[in-house]
Amino acid sequence: MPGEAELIMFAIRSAIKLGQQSREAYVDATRRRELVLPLPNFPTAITVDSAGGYFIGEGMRFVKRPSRLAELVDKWKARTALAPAEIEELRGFRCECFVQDLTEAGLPVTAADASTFDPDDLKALLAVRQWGRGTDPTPSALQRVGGTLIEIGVDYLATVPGALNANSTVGKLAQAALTGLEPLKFSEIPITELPARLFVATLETVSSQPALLTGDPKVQELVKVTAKGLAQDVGARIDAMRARGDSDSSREERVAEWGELVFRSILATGGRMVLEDPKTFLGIKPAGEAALVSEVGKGVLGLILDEPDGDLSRVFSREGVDVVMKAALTTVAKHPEILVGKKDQGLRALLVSVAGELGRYDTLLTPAMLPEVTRLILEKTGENLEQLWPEMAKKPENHLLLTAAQTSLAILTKAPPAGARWKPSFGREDLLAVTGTVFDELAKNPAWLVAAAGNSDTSLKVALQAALDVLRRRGTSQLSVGTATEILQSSIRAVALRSEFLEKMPAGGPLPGQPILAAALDATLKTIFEPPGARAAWRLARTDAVVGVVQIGLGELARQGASPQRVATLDTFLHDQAAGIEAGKTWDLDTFATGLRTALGG
Amino acid sequence: MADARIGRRRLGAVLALVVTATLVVGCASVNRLREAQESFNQAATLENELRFDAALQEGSMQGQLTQNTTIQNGYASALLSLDKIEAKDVERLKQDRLWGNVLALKALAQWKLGLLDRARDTAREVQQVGADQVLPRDRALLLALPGLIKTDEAFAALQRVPAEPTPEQRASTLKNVQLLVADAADAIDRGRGAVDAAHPVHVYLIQAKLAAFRNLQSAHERLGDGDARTLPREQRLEVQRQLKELKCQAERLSLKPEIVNYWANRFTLAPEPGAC
Repeated sequence: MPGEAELIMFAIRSAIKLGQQSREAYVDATRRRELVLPLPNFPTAITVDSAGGYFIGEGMRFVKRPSRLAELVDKWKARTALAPAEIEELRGFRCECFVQDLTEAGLPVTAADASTFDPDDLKALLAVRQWGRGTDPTPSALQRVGGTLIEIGVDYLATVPGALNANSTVGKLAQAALTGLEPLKFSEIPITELPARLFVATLETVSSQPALLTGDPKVQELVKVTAKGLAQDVGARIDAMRARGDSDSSREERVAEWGELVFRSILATGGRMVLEDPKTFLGIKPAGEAALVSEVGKGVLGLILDEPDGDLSRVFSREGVDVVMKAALTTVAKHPEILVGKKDQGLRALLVSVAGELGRYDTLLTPAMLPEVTRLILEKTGENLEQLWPEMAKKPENHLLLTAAQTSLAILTKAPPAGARWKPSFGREDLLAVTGTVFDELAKNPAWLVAAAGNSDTSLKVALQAALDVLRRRGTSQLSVGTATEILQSSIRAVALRSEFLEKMPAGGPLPGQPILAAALDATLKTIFEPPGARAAWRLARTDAVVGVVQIGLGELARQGASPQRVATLDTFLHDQAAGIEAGKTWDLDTFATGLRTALGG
Repeated sequence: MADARIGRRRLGAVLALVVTATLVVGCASVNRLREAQESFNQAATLENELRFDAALQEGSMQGQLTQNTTIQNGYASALLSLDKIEAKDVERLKQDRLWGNVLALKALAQWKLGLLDRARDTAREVQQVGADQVLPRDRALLLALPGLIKTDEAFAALQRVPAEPTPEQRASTLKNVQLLVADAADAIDRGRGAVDAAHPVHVYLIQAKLAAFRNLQSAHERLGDGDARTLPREQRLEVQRQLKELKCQAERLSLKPEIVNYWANRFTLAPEPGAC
């Protein structure tokens, strides 16, 4: 690899060349820019005078004498006032006769006063270019910038060992990148380093990806369609930013940077997948629509940049983009219908919703979480599309996993309540573990998430909140965040198996009105963290014991049925077990499990 | 791997910095012109939409065009952007062969804002700059501009006619409009003669000429006497020729044919017969 100094020198040389040519292209575009031209003033209305003038001029042949028409025309010509009905009559004659003139001239037969134009048609009529078609003497923007790009490519390959041969695989790929960039409106983008970025990215990525250097024409197609799709998307984003008036060079630069990163990611991460399934990813089914791979790229770019309250580029690294890209391509390979039809729905809408709903949970304390949650959502979606995304076509934002992730993260990232005994926060890995478990259970049984439990809250929300409340109340400094995470996962699995866990405890007993899940966990954690003595504390507070006891306890209740009575039995059994340990009896998880099953009546 | 990433990032940063610096240094005056183009285009688009909106009656429509603050502000904004171009930037614009664009746009904006003398002066200034500065469309427009101004003057003269004019008022206004329209048609023809027959500016200039003749037709119908209450035969034939040319240009450029119908209806005249 070249040294950093060489690379920087290369960048400077390239930028100067490109900058000069970009400016020239910008000036060319300004010189040739269309002007919409206003017409001078003229009477637009068709009046009775129009009718009268017609019948003493071009329409004279229609005026037979004597006739009603001749009578009206004579009155008008002599400036005798016409009654309103006579005016309408004369205007009617005009329409009737003029239709014949138009028919003879081969024009569409409408002689009515009304004329309507579509604004776009009108603009096409009165927007005038500097030169006629094919007579513009200035080189096109692509010619200007493209020539420089080739120079940059040559310079790059002089800097990086391995000369570029036009007939080599790398040479062909470079050409594919240029072809893909052709539709980009260089003329409308003053900062046009994006083509250079994509060009250099092509050379760098394919050089480091042997799979892309096989000479397969599909790789060229991949480079071409991806460069084209992303270049258009980046151009459209910059246009939109300018139209909104919130554009500046650094913002535009940033959009271009992310465009490049997504491009690199598609080539590096998705290249192999695309090549294995070119029909899906590169096939263009409806006329005029882009290849799916390019749509996936645009969708991922939208995920990063389209969050309504500010873009999410802060939470994405190159690795994060790769993670999401791979998951998106995998899902699309399984379900191409996600991208068929309107491109602003399906995948792109889902990713925008993910950014909007979950972006705020990616914080300094839980960095790089969003790409992973997005990956999880996409992967699980591919496994069970119909169940998890039932309204994909009509309401793509209604995605069960997105709802579940939002619910889970909202609960788990909430600050501990005042008076909580256990206060640690969940980290990125913990949040991902719980969210992953929620997704797993949802994929097996999508109905339980949306089923209401008690009040209007969903089952997931009730279960997770109840479990966390017990942890906050009963946990001590001995409870690690990792162990708490496993307890939450066990709770979710138990509730997914048995909906009775969400039924409320009766009045008069422990935790009245709380879900049975809360009572079961409370009984378990109370015994573990408030044991009768030091021996029991030593034995039960071990991580493996805490997790084991919770899993076995909830598992047995799920197996035999969760009820207030069984929770009471569990409580008594746990109490006896702790007392036994304290008294010096031997204890292990296997005997605990066997004993509990018997105690619960299994 | 990490070093390579850092290297790429620095490479990108340097690339962006140098390109940005190059563009910032050289683009301020070009940006002024682009701002002006944008403002002018927006104002003209709105004006055209209002003018061709059939739902508006003539009286209220014309009032809207001249009093519409959005339209007027658009033209004023265009002129303001062009006026901000500093003297030191003029040479650079000339080197870039953009000075003709600036003058053409300035003259058009001045015309639409009613600064007619300034518009004429700006159009004349073009004669003092090198021929290479004024490109085809702009050359045609600047040559035709006096005709556009005279067409507006003809329209204004008709607007000033009282509801019950005396025969003398009618005769003098008709004469005035005839002279204005004759001059307008000459100027517009000069503009058309400056570009090749296939240039898209013809579509606009043909319509500008039809607008001039429409004023003349209206003047005859409202102010003429007896057989003179219609457009004279010679001018009718000219309108029909223009309609045919418009039809042919529209076909050639794949434009909507409704525009020919629109103008034919204003005049109640069909295009000259015959193939394009």
